[in-house]
Amino acid sequence: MRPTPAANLVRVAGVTLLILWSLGPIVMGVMTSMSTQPETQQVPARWIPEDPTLDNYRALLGGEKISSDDAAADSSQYGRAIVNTALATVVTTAIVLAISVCAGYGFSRTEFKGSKQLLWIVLATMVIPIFTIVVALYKLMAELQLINTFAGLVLVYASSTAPLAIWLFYNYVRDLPPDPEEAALIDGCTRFGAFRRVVLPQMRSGIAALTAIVMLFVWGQFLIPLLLTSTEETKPVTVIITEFIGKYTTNYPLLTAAGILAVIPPAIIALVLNRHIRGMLSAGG
Amino acid sequence: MSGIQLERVSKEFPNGFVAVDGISLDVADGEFMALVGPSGCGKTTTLRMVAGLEEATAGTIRIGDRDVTDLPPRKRDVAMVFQSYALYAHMSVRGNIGFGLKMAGMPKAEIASRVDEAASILGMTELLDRKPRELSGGQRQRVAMGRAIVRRPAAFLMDEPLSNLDAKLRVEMRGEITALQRRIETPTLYVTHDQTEAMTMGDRVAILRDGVIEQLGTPGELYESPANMFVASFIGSPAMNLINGRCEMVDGRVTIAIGEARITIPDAVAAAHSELRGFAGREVCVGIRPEDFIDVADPADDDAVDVVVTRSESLGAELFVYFEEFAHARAQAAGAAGGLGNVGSAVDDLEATCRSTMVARLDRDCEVAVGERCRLRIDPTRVYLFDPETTGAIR
Ligand SMILES: Nc1ncnc2c1ncn2[C@@H]1O[C@H](COP(=O)(O)OP(=O)(O)OP(=O)(O)O)[C@@H](O)[C@H]1O
Ligand SMILES: [Mg+2]
Repeated sequence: MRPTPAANLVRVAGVTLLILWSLGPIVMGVMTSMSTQPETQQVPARWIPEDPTLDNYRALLGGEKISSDDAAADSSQYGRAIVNTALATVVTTAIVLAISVCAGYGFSRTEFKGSKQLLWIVLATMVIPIFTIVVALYKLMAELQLINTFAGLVLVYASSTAPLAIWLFYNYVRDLPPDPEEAALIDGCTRFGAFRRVVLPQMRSGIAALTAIVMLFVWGQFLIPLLLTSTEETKPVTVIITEFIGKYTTNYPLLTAAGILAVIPPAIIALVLNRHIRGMLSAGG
Repeated sequence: MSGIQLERVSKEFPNGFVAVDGISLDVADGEFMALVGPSGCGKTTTLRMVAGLEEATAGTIRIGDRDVTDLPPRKRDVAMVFQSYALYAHMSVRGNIGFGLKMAGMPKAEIASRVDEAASILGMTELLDRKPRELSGGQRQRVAMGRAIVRRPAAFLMDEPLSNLDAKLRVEMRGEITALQRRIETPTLYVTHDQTEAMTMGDRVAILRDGVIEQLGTPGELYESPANMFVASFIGSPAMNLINGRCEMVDGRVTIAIGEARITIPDAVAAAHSELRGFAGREVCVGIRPEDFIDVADPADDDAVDVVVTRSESLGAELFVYFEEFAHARAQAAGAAGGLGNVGSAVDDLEATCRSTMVARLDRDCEVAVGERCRLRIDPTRVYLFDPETTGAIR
């Protein structure tokens, strides 16, 4: 049925509001990031900078030092933090995918003694909220000497996303018909060959969706790294940004510029893989 | 000797269920063997054991003279056509057909020419670049066939490859598959639950029930001399009518009494069944194929019986007339707890024999009306007799 003009108007208005609601803060952030520090403190507030400047971005990306005097971190540390975050994201995603694709396939296609129980245990860990175990986690990581290490961080990220990933792939593979794999076995493949040549290609969109989900999850992590990292070599961008806030003064243009830069990579991931995420989330769970 | 040989092959599933119970089967080189039976009888399981997708728990399987019992599927040199076709969704038709050759490490140019050849045999050259989802059911079926023939394997295995097609295409493909198989002369084990398919396609047909082969023979043998009531009722469409009767000796001749109707078995026929005399005075189960009834107008005909027509179906060329037992027999059947019920209990797992409705196939120009009497003659040379205790044919 064709919507009436009135219904159409309501819809357009609704969508417009929604866009303003979600983009508004970002637009304000961009404006602020191009203002000067004094401009941000004017009363009444001034939204559009008189003389837009990209100095903050230049400082953040170029390693120049800008900061509030009383803040713990300055702009020169930003580049390293972005690299830390990106590295953790990529490595975690690779590990989680490798584990969960195999485990999901294994759980759904083979049965061994205790396989059902094992799957249940893996899935049960999903329901434990991370903040209930932070203290224990900290102690454990300290014990293992993994505080302030990249490996420790990735270990925690991977083990907190893998169960969800395994579960998604478990369902995904279970819904794939088993016949093509068997046809491949008869056509000359080994079990692994059939998995690689027939199953894996069919899991492509699932893998794409999971890549996005894990990447977005790791990129935004704050509590875990706040707890487990305190060195410049390991701190991610989420932690560094908060350290731009000084005790008494805060360089808002710098802070917002850092924020804007930090949302660009996840925004790109979401844009590129958006189709697959929707497919995965709506696929009969 | 090549071909496919199964020697006392069994399959017991982990839950203890024995799906296949000591099957022996010998598909000769170039032979088309149809494996037919009701749902759940173990056809697919048998085929999967030959393919290596399921491990045989006992017995030996040989393909092309090699003992393959313990080999993985890829080393058995068989090709299988699945009921679901099992095409590789992410590959083009060309990729699907050539996949097995690629796995065998064949050079690209040779793969291309073999794929083109297979495609032209199956008349789907113009479909080679499509993906499976862009094909109709019949076309997918062809791709699955192409994938099998292109490899020139030692054996073909097919699991109900036509059951997802519409009736017309199914009949067409029956002919095409048999013609193709004759041409490439590869031993074929073809699973179906459809007896018509088995009878029209198979050089020989094996009838399976509950994991056991009930009878194995050419279509003609199965039709003419079924080994037992199961085979008798399974082969032929509509199924053979099975009725309880009594074997009597009248004036030294074997006579079968069904209710008050009498069928005198010709001496030559009786002589051919040496066991028959031993049944004198005993219950027997009488099998009459629908096509062995003849409509007679003459009320004086002694071999004829009266029936009351309950339903008739005209298929154009032929007419099916349904009736509930012979009119003469009715009174007796109601009185004594005999009649058709006995047959049902002798083989009570056979749906086909439990029905009390019988059917006759008559000429299209017969005039019958529902509710009216109709006089039918039974061809006495075509009567099948079974031992109601063992359900086996009386030889
Ligand atoms: N994995 C399994 N575990 C236990 N029993 C099974 C298993 N697979 C099949 N069976 C049983 O084995 C019997 C034979 O199954 P099979 O698939 O061979 O039947 P079929 O003759 O191919 O029937 P259909 O015509 O319906 O395809 C069935 O009774 C089925 O329930
Ligand atoms: Mg089957």
